Amino acid sequence: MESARASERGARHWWLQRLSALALIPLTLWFVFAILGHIGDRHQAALAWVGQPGVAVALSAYIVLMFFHAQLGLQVVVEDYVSSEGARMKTLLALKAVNLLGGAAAIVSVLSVAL
Amino acid sequence: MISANNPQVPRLTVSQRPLSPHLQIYRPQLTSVLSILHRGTGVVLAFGALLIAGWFWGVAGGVEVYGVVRGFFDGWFGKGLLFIWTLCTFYHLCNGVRHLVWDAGYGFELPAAYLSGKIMVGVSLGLTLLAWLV
Repeated sequence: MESARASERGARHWWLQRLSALALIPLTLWFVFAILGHIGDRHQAALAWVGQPGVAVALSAYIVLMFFHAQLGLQVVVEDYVSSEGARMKTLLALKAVNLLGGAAAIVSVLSVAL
Repeated sequence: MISANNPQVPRLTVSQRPLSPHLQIYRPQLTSVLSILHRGTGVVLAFGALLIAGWFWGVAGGVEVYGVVRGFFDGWFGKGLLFIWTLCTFYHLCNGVRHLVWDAGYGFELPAAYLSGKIMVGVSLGLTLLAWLV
């Protein structure tokens, strides 16, 4: 990857945060009501719900965008409050790792049920 | 640059330099409180995302793992976290829409910002109640 200038990276980050926010509006409205309706399901019912193709697609989109949006937002918080460069780099790396693992765990779980 | 050779300007060591005013010297206003809450709910939701991931992990993990996860969300602690997650989600969603409208260049006037803030709080509380009572 060619090294983008800091100003370009900042603008890209800003746009990606807004675009993911926009896509998350309908997905989140759907997801909150859906998950509250299914979180107490018996196992068979939960499997059946997650296994529906339409539901699995919507869940995958929600999970990817939500973890991505969380990563973008938390990155700004860390950059604002962690002033020492070494600690900031370590925190940002840890953040990326947690969001990547959390998102991967959720996505793989949904797909392993649905496929 | 200019001050370096200017005898009128005192040289300050790093610890003597003036700092930006700290947040606590400002009188809290609706607009600033709502803005801080946007970031706060965002951080809470990042933890919530891991909780949600845990439920899907449980579904995929089989009856026994799922039983543990289901038991957690059925208890008062899990239910409480889920309620806070719902409230934070709707707050962040509604205030996020408000931010997107600002980004598009609308609603910056002070009365409009206050009005949209009050509407946003009402809608997010309403959606939370709707999601939990229905």
